This record gives sequence, C-alpha cells and structure tokens, in this order.
Amino acid sequence: MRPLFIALAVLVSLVPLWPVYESPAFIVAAGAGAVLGAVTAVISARRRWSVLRTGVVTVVLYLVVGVPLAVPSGAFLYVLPSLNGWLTLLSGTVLSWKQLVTVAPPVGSYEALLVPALLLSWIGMLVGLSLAMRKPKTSWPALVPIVTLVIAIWLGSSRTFYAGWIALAVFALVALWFASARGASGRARTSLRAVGIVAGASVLALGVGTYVPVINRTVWRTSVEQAFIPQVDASPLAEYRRYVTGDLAKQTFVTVKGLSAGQRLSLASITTPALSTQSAAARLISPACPVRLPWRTEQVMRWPPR
Amino acid sequence: MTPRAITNRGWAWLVISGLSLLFGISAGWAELIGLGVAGLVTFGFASLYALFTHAHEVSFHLEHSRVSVGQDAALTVRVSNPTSRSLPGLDIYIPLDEEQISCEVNRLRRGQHEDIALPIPTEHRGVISVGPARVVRQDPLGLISREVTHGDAATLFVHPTTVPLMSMSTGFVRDLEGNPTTDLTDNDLSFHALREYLPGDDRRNIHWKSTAKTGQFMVRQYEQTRRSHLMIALDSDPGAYGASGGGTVKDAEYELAVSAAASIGVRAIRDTRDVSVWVSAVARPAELRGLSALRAAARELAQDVSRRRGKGFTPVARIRALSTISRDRMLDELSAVHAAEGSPTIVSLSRQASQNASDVSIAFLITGALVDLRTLNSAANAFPQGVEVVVISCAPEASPTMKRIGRLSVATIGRLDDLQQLMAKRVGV
Repeated sequence: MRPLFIALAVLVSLVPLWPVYESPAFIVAAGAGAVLGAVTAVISARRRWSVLRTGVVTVVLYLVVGVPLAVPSGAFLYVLPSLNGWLTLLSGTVLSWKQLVTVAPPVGSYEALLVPALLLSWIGMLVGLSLAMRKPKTSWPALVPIVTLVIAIWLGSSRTFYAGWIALAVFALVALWFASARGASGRARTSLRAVGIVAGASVLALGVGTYVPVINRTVWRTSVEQAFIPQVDASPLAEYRRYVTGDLAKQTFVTVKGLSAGQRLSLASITTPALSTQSAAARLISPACPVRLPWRTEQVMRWPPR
Repeated sequence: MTPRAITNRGWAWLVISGLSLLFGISAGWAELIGLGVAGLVTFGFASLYALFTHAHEVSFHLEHSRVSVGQDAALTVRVSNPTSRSLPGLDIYIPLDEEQISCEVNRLRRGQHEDIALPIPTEHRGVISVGPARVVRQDPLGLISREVTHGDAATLFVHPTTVPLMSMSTGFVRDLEGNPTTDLTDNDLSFHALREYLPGDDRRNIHWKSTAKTGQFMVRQYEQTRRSHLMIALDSDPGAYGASGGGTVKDAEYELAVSAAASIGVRAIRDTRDVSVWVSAVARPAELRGLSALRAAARELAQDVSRRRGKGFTPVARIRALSTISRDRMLDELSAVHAAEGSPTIVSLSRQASQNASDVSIAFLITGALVDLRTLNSAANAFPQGVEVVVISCAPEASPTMKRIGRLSVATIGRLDDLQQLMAKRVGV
C-alpha cells in the first residue's frame, strides 16, 4: 500500500515530458514502461531477486518489448520487432537523449525518440518501487521521484507546463510516503496531522509560486547549440540541385493543406548572407544535418508572406 | 530547537529542499521552486514540534532484578500527569541493550496516572541493562525528533538455568582447616552432641563422665569436618564447543556448560563449602561502531600479521575468579560470561586455576564435546596428586555416560537433568 505513493510520484514526475511528445504514443510508452517496471519490482521484491538478476530480466524484457513501444516505426504488425527497429532501439538507448532535445517539439513517435520516455518511466518505477519495498524505513525511495522529475524537466519543453501542480503533487506524494511510515502504531491522529502539515505547506508554496515570477527557464533544449561546420556539410546549393533533378525529385517532402494548385510554398529563406551564423534554413535543405520538422504544427503558412 | 533534534532524514530534507529552491531559481524551473518552498515550509511546521515538551512524569521499575532463562520478567512503567490539565498521549521507549520496547500512553486527565506492565524477553542468559526511559516527541514526517530521558538505567540479570543437585559430600575428612558439615560421625574434630550407646558403637567413644551422671552408656557424636575446596573451571574457548555443528548448536553447548557450572556452584554454596569458579578473563568484545570499529579491525589485522611473521608475542590468556559470596552474586557473574576468541584452552585454564587455588580437593572442569581425552588428561594433570578431577563434557542430545581414567572422571551430559543423575551416582562412589 505504502509503495503506491512512490509509484504515483514517479508517474506524476514524468508529466513535464508531455509537451515534448504531445502524442498518444508517449502515453503508451511511458505507461507500459511504468507497468513493466512496477511488475518487475514487485516480483523481484517478493522473490528476493538479486540486483543482478533483476537487471538481467529488465534488459531482456526491454529488448523484447522495446521496439513496439519506443520505436513504433520499426515494428511489424505493431508488435514484432524488425532487425532495423532493433538497431534503432539499441543506438537510441544511447543517442536518443541528445536527439530528443535537438528535434523541435512536438516530436510524436519519430524514430527512437520515445526511448527516453520509456526508459525513464521504466527505470524510475523499478528503482523507486524496489527501494520502497525493500528499504521501507530509509529515505532513499523518496529521492527517486525527485530525480526523475529533474531529468524530465531537463529533457522537457522550454515552456512551463502545469509546473505548480506537478511540483505540489510530487511533494505531497513524497511527504505522505514519509508520513505513512510512522502510521505503523495505527494512530489516526498522526496521519491527520501529517495531512494537515502537507496541505498547509502546499497552500503556502502555491501562494509563493503565484506571486513570484519565474523567468529564463533553462533546459537542455535551450542550451543545445548545434555545431555548424560548412566544410563538413555539402553546399546547400548542391543539395538543392538534388531535390530538383536527383533521386529526391519525386519524393513527397511536405504535405500542405489549403494551397491552390500552382501556388508556391517558401520552404526556407536565407536570412543573412553570412552562412557561418547558423540558420535553420541552411540546415533545412541540407540532408547531412536535417532538421526534423515538428510532428504537427498549428502554424498557418502564408504565401506570399506579408 | 537544537540542531541535535533534527534527524538524519530532517537534514536530508532540509538540504534537498534548499538545493531544489536554489537550482530552481537559477534555472528558472517553477517545479523545483515549488518543491523547495513546500519542503522548507514543511520543515518549519515540523520544527514547531520540538518547541514544546511534554509535561508527563515517567518512571519505571523492574518487578524482579534476577530471573532465570525463560522466567517471566516484567517492567512496570508509571506515567502520571502532575499538571492541572489534560495531557495528550505519548510514546515511551525503553532500551534493552541494543533493542528497545515501546508502549503507548493514551490521553491522561489531570492527576491521573497509568501503570503499564511490559514483558521483557528472557530467552537468553545475559545481563540486560534496562532504561533509562525515553520519551520521543516527533513530527509526523520524522524530520524532527526530540527525546527526553527519565530515570536511571536498571540491570536485569537473566541467570542460567540450574537444576537442584544432591549434596556432594566429598573432600578430605578430619581436617583442622575444614568446615563442619551436617553429616554426623562418631570420630572427628567438631563435637556435636551426646547420645545413648547402641550396640555396634565403638567403645572408645563412650563418654564416661556423662555415663556416670546418667547411669547409661553415652557416646559422643561429631560433625564431619571436611576441607573441601571445590573448584569449577568453565572453559570459554569457542574451539571446544560445537561438536555437532556451528552457530546455534555451539551456543546451546556453551549454555549447557554454563548451566552445569551454575548448578554445581549453587549446590556447593548451599552446602556452605569453599568454592571458586574460574572463567576466562577475556571480556566480551564490545559492540563497536563507526571509527572505533575500523580502528579495532586495523589493530586486529596488525596483530594477526605480526603473529604470522613470528614476531611479537601472543599475550597469555588470563583467567579470573567469579565472586562466590552468595548464590545470587555467583549467578549474576555467570550471567555475563561469554565464549570468546582468545580465551585460554582447558589445559591453560586448569594450570592457572590450580596455581591460584592450591588447596583444592575436587575440581570440576566443564567443557564442550570437541576436547579429546588426551587434552583432558593433561588438563587433569595440572592439579596436584590427590585432587579429584571431574570433567563434565557438554554435548547436547548425547546420551549420558561416565568414564573413569585413573583419578580422572569424564561425564558426558546431553541435558541438564543428566547432571542430576550423574551427581547422585557420584555420591555413592
């Protein structure tokens, strides 16, 4: 019963990742990761598995279900992993963290970008629940939701998303975990006081949060500077030629609604003549360093631009 | 509020809240700012708990300060309310060595008091220090915990189990330095009374003056005086115990040995005989924690290394005598003995004991089943001629046997009751 507080806190701490994905695939991946982590932790605690055994079981499970959950594009019939999907999963385990913050949100279920969500919920739930069930008298389990919260924010969006509510939910769940530890003697008086203290602190913190403005949110995404080395990249014009005359000439590049036939769409414009300053436009037409367009965008593209 | 009142969890809570607030402000993360503020406010609420103390008066006393293994031992805690208002309930913790027992007290009206009887576990022999009682005032999250102690520590002796033995009338008779016993005889040093002559009495013992007075033959009766210094040497070398396995079996063997020693000692004290009990002087290794444990381990390692190199010397294992002034004193001290590494072997124990007590008439060597006959024989040879040596070899679950090798008797006992029968047999010998 008591480990439920930690499990819920880990789940809540993943909410800051939602604006990055904004896709049902995220809920599937994070939810499945949480369920698998919880089941592994419960079985491991009941059967008194060693750390090594729990780790091996987790890795094997991850290899089996990782592709359909985290790399949906690499799965046959939604469940069977393809070789290509597996390779993407393996490389994504290491690389997708960086990729996630270099792709403009929302990223949806593109390639292996769901791997961080899956891993974070899985490992957070596994570690949190294992500690909560095996070392219930220590304070270590309470640290897990805070760590996952920090990682989720760090990987998350640069704009705030229900920050106060997430903070209070994590805080209240962690505090209740502590408060329920002393409930062993079965005194309702103590737990009522605990709820009172937590509620009072939450109200005060909300008040402070409302009146203190928070500015300059810095996350990984905001601090990533994509290195642009012209010598490494092919010339933008050569790339442009490939789009017009090469193999890519017949490929669907972008689908746009609302344009009438014959109208042109500006894909990119070089705003400054100096190519050494990096512009999204230069990267957009350079497949060597492609910029992934947001999974979907509400922005209405106008032509001709005003 | 003193910083000591903050628990480890409280410190961690404070540090993590502070860090999240600082990091949240520097990185502009509203989530962490919220966590930090809520954490600090909670800590502030919790520290209010340390400001107010309880007004209860708490005292405790032991029902009996000496019990045998398995007997009921109870502790009575009295909590009273000296104030003129009603006081809320509280938890009381009473440490028993490393463990502790706790009890709850409900709300007390003014002038009311409550007595709580708490059982103390007495499955094992030992000396349990009880108390002082602690009243802990803690906030619901366990961040602040302020405790007040009441009363002094008391000591509970859990004595070894003993069995009643028959009186042992051995020793050198007719000795000027001996003690008179209650056994009557017609020829000894300590005069007891006169009685009428019965056919078969020695005519030399007729007391002619009394015969002339009464007109009947009267004979003198004496009490037997015996110089009987009884020595009990209890082997505390762990190497001697554990014939049928290690761990708990070893403990069971040692407990049997202690109980046997205690039974013989109690009988001897009841017979008002001189008795001395010798055990290893190696103290029980104290439970060390933290730095001192590390230091002790390092010292042990250094000793071990120097011993292996052949340098240095192993100190001679010392022995000590237990107090035998009274039954309780002896049992108290026997409650505290432990088998410890570094104790003298049975041979060294007997040698030192016989040097220290030269007028021994009978020696009981109590040891485990792992000691072979050759060792026992050399242990027996440590005593001068004429001293009767009885080895009591404790092997739980073994069938009781008695062997005689010269003046050495080796009795194997499997249970404490076996000792009763063996000693009863010995009386006839």
